Amino acid sequence: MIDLDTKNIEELIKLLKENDLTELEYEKGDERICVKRSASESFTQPVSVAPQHGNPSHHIMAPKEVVTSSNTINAPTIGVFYTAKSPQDPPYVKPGDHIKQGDVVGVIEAMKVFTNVVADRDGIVEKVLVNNEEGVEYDQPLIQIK
Amino acid sequence: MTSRLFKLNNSVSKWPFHKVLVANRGEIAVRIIRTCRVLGLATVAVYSETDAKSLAVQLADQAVCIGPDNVNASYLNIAAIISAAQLTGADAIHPGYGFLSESPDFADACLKNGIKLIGPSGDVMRLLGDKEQARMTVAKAGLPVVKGSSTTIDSLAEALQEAQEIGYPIMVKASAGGGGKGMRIVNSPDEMAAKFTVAQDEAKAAFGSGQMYLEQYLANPRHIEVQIAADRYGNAIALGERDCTIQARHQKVMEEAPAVVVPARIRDEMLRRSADAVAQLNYEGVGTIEFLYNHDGSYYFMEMNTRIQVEHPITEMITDVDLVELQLRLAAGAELEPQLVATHGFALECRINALTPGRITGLHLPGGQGVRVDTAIYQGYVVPNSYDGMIAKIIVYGDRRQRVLQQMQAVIDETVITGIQTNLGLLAQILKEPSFQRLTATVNWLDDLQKKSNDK
Repeated sequence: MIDLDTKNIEELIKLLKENDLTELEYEKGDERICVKRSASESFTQPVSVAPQHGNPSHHIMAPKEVVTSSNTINAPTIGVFYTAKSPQDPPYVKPGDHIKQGDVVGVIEAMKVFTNVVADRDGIVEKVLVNNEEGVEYDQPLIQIK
Repeated sequence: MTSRLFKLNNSVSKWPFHKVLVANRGEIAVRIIRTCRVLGLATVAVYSETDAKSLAVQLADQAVCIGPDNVNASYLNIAAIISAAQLTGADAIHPGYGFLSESPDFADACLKNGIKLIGPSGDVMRLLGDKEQARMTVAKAGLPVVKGSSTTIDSLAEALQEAQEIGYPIMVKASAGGGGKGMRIVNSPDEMAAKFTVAQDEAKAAFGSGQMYLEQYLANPRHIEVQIAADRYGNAIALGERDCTIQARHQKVMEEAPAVVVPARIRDEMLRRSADAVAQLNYEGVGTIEFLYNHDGSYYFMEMNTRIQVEHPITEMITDVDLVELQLRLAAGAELEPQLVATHGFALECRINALTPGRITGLHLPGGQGVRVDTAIYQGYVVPNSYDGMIAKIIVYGDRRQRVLQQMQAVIDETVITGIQTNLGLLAQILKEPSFQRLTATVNWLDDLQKKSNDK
């Protein structure tokens, strides 16, 4: 018997979104929960914006922080940035971590293809410049290192 | 003025999309952003690292870097462009010309992700992108095609047999081809034996397919093309024609509209037959049907381009129709009123090409009555090495050809672009050539002329 409280349903919605599915059905005995997304709702909900000339508005794209140092690891591709392998996993890196060249420090998803963000040098993480699940463009600074 | 083409005065009462991502660069990206602004549609520019300071990036409401200099990783990167649309909330994509504008896979990806592509469906692109299928399709729809092989040719033996039926001279072409690769002119069976395998090997190397086809070769034609537009309800119209005979190595250099070499009776028939054919194709958007035209008045379908054309401004000048606006309205579901679109006056376009990359240190663009310049360059702009060299289009409109030619000479003389090398000198030379002025040139004329001057 499934406990049909909202928490359960919220969990399912979360799963649905995280895996970019359009439909999820959970069945146990004669209880059944089916969660569907409308076809138009994509992973990152498009926001319809009125034209605002000369004033770029980034509703989904992560704001580009003013980076004071050029010592950053940048996005290898455009897409959605994830700080951890999955919501259950701890973030790949946090400030103060020592990283080595070749370490995976994040992941970017574009059209369901996941690309690892790999450190191109050794260092200590000073700041993660982009929040989890924010959109980033090509070569955008993601992690500032010391 | 675009509204008179539609059934209702207000062709689109409510836009089904609000933000248009422009999947291109250079002057056409700027051109598209301009019309979107007039219509109140928001714009997103996507750019490669190299183009970070481009005019399109500065003019668009939003700009997103999609990849490095290499076109395969940026302007041809379907996943990056779809991602950019999703992240910015763009619900439509205008592909411009070149790049992904005729990619059925890109059209399919847009559809799958709920993004409206400004253009026809992937299926129609696929059909018209295959030379042989396109030829058979338009022949069935009533357009004259050059005599050609009925199936693809794999071997020399087949080629010799088919050539016998078509008659020499013959053009051997790669079925998947373009840009002159895998193409040979063959005058006799002996030549066929010598050239077929070479062309086939070239096709295999360039396109991964050795499927060839043969067609009747027209020795000295002019290039005449018809601008068409079609809505999703099966209505199609023709918006005049263009004469794009002045070409260098299959690249157009100058274009004019209307095509004054074509007698009115034949012209009207070409336009009517083109519109009728397109009405049968489930086509949506604007497009161009290219013909080879012989001086005896016969003409043959060559190919159909399923996108906006570089030389579209000359048609805009003689019809008063904004073709990008027309594309956007057709994509939004507007319904065309079938009609004969009237044209007036005469327009000539010169393509300004950069022959070397580098910084533009000095720039003076021309002006005057009837002068239009479509460009994305500015003083201090660095012309990159990585992309097509066309940096500007100068268009002159006037009441008759002779007058426009004279004005264009003055306009080209007035134009100053320093810091890089351009083809302005060549354009000035062409404008003075009697063969150009008297309309006796053919598609091979400029190549022959340049060859002669090189041989001297």
